[in-house]
Amino acid sequence: MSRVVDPEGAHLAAALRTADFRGLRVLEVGCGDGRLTWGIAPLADSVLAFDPLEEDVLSARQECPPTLRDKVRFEVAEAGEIEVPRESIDLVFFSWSL
Amino acid sequence: MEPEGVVHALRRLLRSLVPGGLVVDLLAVPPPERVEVDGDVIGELDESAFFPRALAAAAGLDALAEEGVLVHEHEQRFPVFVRYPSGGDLLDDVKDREYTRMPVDLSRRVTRITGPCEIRVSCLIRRFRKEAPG
Repeated sequence: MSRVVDPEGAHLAAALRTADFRGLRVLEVGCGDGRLTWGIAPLADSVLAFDPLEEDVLSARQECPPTLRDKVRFEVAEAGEIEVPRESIDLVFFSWSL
Repeated sequence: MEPEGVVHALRRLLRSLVPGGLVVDLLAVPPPERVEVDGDVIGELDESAFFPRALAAAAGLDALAEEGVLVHEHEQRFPVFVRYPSGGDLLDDVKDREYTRMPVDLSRRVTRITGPCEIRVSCLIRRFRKEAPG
């Protein structure tokens, strides 16, 4: 399919205006193919990114830049299935919707 | 996720957040997505099945803010665009969506678009802070 999503980068710009991601342990819910993850991860301490669509998560894993592989982890899960240790996250980022 | 499960899922997720930690919520909000060509509005998509689900998540965060679990600190509305080389490409994209439909009369107009077109999405981003005990 030929489409370009958010060519102006408005989503990422809004996220970065809304919170300072520097040095934070981020839980991203609804990461899709990692489109916003790539903008957040260089700033964050770590990003644990979930999406219910396996196809998108596989794409995100394949496209993950080598420089981010140590700090980003992608998993397939619905929001209600996510298991994360108590008080281990500094910022929860809901992308689009639950 | 079904709307009734949203608050439960949010509570579970917020247990992972440190006291004083942040929640950033980014979602599409009304008005419905608009098909545009060179800034002219061609029509609106039918998102009557989409918004109740998306807004349930927002309402879940609002409910937790009313309980005092979260503090609402900031929000901003802004548009986002999805661009297509032609109306046919736009139609192909929308027909794959689970909760959004293209009205028949709009579909006829979009079919005739041979050049670039776009969908304008209205977005809302909000920031909450998890209350620290004491």
